[in-house]
Amino acid sequence: MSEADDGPAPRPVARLEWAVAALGAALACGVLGVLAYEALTYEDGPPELVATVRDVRATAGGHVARFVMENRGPSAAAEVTVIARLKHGGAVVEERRVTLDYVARMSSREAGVVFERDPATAELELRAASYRRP
Amino acid sequence: MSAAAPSLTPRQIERRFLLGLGRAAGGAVVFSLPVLMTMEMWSLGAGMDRLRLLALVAALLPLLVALSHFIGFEETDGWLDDLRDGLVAFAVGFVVSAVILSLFGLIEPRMSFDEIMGAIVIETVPASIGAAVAQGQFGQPDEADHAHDRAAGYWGELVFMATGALFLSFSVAPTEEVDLIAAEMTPFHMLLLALVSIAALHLVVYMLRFSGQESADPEGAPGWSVFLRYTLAGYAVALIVCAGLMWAFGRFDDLGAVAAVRLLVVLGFPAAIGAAFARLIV
Repeated sequence: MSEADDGPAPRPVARLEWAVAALGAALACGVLGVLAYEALTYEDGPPELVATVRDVRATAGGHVARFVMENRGPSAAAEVTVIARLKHGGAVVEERRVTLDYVARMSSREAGVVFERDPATAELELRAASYRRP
Repeated sequence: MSAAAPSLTPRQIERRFLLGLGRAAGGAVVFSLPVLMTMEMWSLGAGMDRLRLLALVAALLPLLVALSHFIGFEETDGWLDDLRDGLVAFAVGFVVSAVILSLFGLIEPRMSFDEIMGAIVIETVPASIGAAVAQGQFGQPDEADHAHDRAAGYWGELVFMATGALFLSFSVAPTEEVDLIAAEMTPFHMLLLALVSIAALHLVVYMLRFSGQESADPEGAPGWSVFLRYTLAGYAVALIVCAGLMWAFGRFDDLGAVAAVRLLVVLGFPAAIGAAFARLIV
């Protein structure tokens, strides 16, 4: 009100405010840039589900085999069913099934299966059997 | 460079900004918590089509700038100030989302870059809106009166309604429940819900006029004009926001036109309520 004649004075701007705004600008440009790059380079394809055993440990509840389910493909997979088989001389001696809720593309999830026998004495086979589009 | 007002030392100016930053962070937490703690949201960020996520962020930035413009407490704010405020809100929203997601153990170094960035970006949408609203909502004591006197104008009203609609429908849009509710409802229910949404919106618009807050509107404008320009326009804005969200989240994929409209009406209800109350809150 007092400065009605010579126009209102601009609000003083803190230096820190410019710094945070610059951070915001950098983040916004970064996010937009990365998303644009990903959108442009995206190729459609099925999820590529690869299971790798991390370790096997004998516990009071049985032999726990921890594994990592990796999705190297360009699309996400939901309800991934994993079949784990212990084979001995060609014959399946134990079979376990696990369902993973969600494995994002280019991401991995960890899970485990519990066997009665020590997997070291047999051949352990792990693979994804099915998935659903999320 | 803007000249400092004579009453404030540089130290006080920085301090005042820090306080504002704290408020913005608080607003970001309040607005984003329901979304941060919803499972669908985490996986969505990773799995969402990148082009649609890009569109979401590209739409968010102008909304933040517009919000800063219409709730800014200084009439002198030029576009550069609005842009700066909008970017500050974006930065606050992004950092708050990243911190809370890490705190929950939802983003970890072993996850892919795609997954981490997607989750943070999705959460940044409500968080940065919360930051923008909080930034403008509680002005400094000497400016507070001024802030509330300032009329946002018709376009401001629409921006507020869009913000409210986005806020309330954002956390609901990716959930299965919208499908379930739409499936339970008969066409008669649908029609009724749409009418109730419009009625609720009109009630709030009408109440605001009565309390004299609708300064953008000339005194004695006929009721049908207000109904058309505010209520119906508000419902349209709410539906457009819903449609944008549903498209971005991929909810319209593999859906027929009728099923899509049904989803839209169901989601339009929280959106209309959000649009109505945004005007009361902001």
